[in-house]
Amino acid sequence: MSTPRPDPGRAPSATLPLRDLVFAAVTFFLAAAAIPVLAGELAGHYYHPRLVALTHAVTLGWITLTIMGATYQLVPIVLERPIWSERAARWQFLVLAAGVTGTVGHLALGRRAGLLWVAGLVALGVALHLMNVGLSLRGLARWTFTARLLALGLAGLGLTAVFGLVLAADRVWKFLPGAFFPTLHAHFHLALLGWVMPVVLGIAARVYPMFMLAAEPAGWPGRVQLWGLTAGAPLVVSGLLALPGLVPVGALAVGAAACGHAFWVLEIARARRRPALDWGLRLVLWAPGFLLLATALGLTLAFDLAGGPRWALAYAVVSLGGWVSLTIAGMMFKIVPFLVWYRVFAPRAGREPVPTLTELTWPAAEGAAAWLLGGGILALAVAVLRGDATWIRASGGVVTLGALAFLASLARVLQHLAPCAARRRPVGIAAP
Amino acid sequence: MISGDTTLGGLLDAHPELIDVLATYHTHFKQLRNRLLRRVMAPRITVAQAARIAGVPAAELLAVIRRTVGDADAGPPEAGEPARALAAAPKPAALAALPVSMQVHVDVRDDIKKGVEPFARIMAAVKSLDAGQALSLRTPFEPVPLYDVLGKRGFAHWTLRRADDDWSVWFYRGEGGTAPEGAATAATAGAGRRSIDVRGLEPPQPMVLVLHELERLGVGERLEVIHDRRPIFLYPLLAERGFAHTTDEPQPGVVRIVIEKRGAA
Repeated sequence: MSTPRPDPGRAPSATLPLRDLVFAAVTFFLAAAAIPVLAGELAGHYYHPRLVALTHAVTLGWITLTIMGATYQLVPIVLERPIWSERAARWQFLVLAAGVTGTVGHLALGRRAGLLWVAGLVALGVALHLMNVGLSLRGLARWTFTARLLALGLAGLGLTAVFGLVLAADRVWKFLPGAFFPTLHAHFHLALLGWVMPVVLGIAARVYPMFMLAAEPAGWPGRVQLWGLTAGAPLVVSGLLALPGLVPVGALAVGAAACGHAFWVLEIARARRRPALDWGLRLVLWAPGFLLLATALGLTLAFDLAGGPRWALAYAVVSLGGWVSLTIAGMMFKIVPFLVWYRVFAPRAGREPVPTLTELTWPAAEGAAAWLLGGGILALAVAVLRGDATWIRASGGVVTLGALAFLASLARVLQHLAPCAARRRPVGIAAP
Repeated sequence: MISGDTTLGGLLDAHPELIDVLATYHTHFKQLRNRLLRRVMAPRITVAQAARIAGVPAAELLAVIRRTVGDADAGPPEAGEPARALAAAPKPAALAALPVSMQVHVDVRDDIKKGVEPFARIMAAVKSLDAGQALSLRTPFEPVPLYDVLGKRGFAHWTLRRADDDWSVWFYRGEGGTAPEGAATAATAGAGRRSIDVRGLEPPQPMVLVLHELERLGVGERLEVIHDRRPIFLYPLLAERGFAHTTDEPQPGVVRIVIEKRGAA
């Protein structure tokens, strides 16, 4: 059987994803460094201007920017579609970076007047991303598991941005009906379950086997993930907004999707032909443990077995700080060295000896980052659950050190770009 | 008395300072500082084999070792095996006839760099070989001890030195006709076409292998690459280097890229 298709003819630019990833990594470090400073606030109610700002620094500056940057590299690889416009992606980064910085700043300072404008910048950046990736997916030959979840995630991102814009407008004009906190929770869960989770699950199904040298997973866990999120995310969000009875049903569906993902990751790890795990792979294997813990906490909250700001904060720390952040950090340990290697050494490959990816990295710093982030986030979750400012400060310090090690290990990789930038033109913007 | 047949295992137990001596000949002997690697590998390497890995005459290394450990009874240096000629032997017919789909690739360079003992992984791969399959092993040094180990299991070997720290060794069933029937057909059909299977390799190894093969592509030759996905990052490099390429999927999950010099008939 032969199914010839046109070759894309060009590779994604290596520097395009790196802008997003570097911005995201720096934001992650700054957010981590803010935890010990905000220990007092974290021991209280989560609805505090500086904590809302911290949450947006993590969700927008760290998680969203990383996913967008990674998308520009991974869509061409896993879906075999070129990015529709790299120029639009560059503008999108600038707009979004400005919007995120402004949003976090305005939220931290409690300034309502300009918030709508900077939230508008975020929405514009999101719109540019949606347009770019949407047009990249146009004409996709096979709507695989990954492609479907990516499309689901893009829809979730669009809705989350609109929701955020409406919330920002509501801060000025106060027009939204209903209670405030359920609306805020709905916004959070739309971002987590509608945008972040589908994309992470979809990309993981293609990329983890690639790096662990395992067969791609298949079968019922995929259907459970797809349908669990497709049904669960809208149920949770609509339940929080209007029909509380739907929340537990939706939470169960999302929980099933989380278990399906964890099962697949375990299968991939068991079937891998790569016996030695580097720190990037270890982090992505640890992360589903946090996902299962977050699922348990989420179900506990959904079924009203527990409640209040302490449980909600612990849930946010485990899901955003544990599952999502460790997954992203692990993938960045894999993606960034490849992008740097491709830009600097690929042009020489075959003609002279070139270093392996491992030789570009700093395994000691990666290991330190993995242990400090993993242990620190777990301790932070316990500390916020207890509401103990001293323990929050201490565990936040550990997370900060982990983020510093993470940043240092990325900087070690990125330093290989320095002579390259002065010597040669970009490799990625290649032949038509 | 220490001879060329003495294994490093016993020597290093008694004289751990020899690791530094060996490391001056080849940096990969530094890996023997790792206790696990030393326990697994050192008993399998003789002094003569170590000399071959280091690319020096066995007598020279033997003399240095004897001096270092103060072997008072040391006799005159053995003639031993001379330093290995670096010119590659031609590829054996049985191996040349073997299609890439019959070759199992194992790359242990990263394992050794990280101090992970690779022997178990290699032997597991050998154990999993079907009749007619060959093992294609990538290592940072010439895996001389394996020649004996796998030789006893009926495997011949062919070695290609890509760089000082980059070796490929194919272990295959000998010339006794164990190559599968299809292989000869493939060899005939493959005149003017070289083939490389990069499935199951971690990025960017497939790209490195393909570009390495392309640099050695003869006039009028084509390189067929068997991949598990479309190599999006490779295409622009092919264009830059003046290669034309076509891609198809002969079966689900298998991508085939045929590359040739642009302008070649």
